[in-house]
Amino acid sequence: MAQNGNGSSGDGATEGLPSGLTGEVRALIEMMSRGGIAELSLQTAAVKLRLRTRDGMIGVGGGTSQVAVAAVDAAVDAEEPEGVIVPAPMLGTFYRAPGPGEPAFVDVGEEIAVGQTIGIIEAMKIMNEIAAESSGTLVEFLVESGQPVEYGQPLLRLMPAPA
Amino acid sequence: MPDQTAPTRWDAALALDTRRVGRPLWHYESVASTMPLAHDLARDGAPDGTVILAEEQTAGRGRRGRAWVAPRGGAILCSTICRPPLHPDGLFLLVAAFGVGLCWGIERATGLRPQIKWPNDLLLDGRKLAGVLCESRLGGDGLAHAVVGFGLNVNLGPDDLPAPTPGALPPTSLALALGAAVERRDLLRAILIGIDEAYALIWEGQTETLREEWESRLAGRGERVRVETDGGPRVGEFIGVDADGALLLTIGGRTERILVGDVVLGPRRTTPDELAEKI
Repeated sequence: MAQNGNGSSGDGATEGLPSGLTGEVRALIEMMSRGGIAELSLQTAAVKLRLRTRDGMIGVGGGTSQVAVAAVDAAVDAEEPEGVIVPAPMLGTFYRAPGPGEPAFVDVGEEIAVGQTIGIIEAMKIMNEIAAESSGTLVEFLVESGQPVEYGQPLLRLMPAPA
Repeated sequence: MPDQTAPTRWDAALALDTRRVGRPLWHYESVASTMPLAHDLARDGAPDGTVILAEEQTAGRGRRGRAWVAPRGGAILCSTICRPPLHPDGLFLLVAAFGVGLCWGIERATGLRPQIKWPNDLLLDGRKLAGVLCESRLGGDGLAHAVVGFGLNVNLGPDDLPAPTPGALPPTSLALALGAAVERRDLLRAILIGIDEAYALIWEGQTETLREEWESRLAGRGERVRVETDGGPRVGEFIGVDADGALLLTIGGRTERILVGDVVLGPRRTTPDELAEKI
């Protein structure tokens, strides 16, 4: 997950990035450099990142991160969405409703209570109800109903009530 | 549930001496469905192994809300509350325990030898004898509880069984296979004892023994089968299951691991893959 620290790596291209990301961003830039990739977008629940070369070409010279960083205009749009992410507790297929044609367990804008069922993950023909671990307003689903999910993958985002 | 009758306790009447399963055993004449009732009781703290048995379900359901219809008294319909020491990813072992336990109980009571259609249902001579359904509730600490339900066709005649639907296995019952009615109480007792023994393997840490017993009873193992997956049909040799319960299918010398899919047994269409292999 992204951090909101003010740390900087000290080099121009990655300056101002959340501190926890700089190493990963450098690795991405290096990958772009090696692969001759002109533009790369990445979006997770925690961060949205877009990297683009200045003129569509990357200097491949020494192949070190410093060289690659210098050659890239890192148009970075990093953000941390507010709220609490509910992750998938297991691998399987996520469903928002108990059955086809039935109403969803919860909808965007709804107040969710601790312990309330927010969806089902099916694996090996076993239907696993997922209970919310925290309360708040459901802001968005981060996966579609019927979509395969990995362990820990963000399922939805809640906005806790102000303290 | 307005159509729910008051329960009576049956475990003493059945002289059940099980460790967990059926202690207690609550018998209802009629309920909407044993599954939500069992979840409610589990949330209220019902102990591991509590069984809800119903003579009739007015709104029985299978996986993903599919209707499960059974005429009164012709089937054994029950749901068991389980609190096994398993991570959510290991819950296939619970399904395996019920499949294996049902097989043991049926064998002892009738001499018939059912098979298991990976991962959950019971077959007899390639026809569906029982449906097994597992639902769990997961919270921050992992598994809160699981409910395993099954509907076993016991004394159903040809006219009582649902009409075969395209793509689904034809149904059967124990009475049809035996040519005679089955004493349901004796059968119920044998089944609950069988499930209790298989479930105890989880509690005693003998999960590999359980997994092997389950694997040995899987229909189509060692044969060429088709598995319908989200990504389309896969055809190959069904060589067994791995430590996570995934189905292992060997296709063209390479083994694929399948976690979600329907095994199709018996006569089937030739797939484009097979055609390509033949050509």
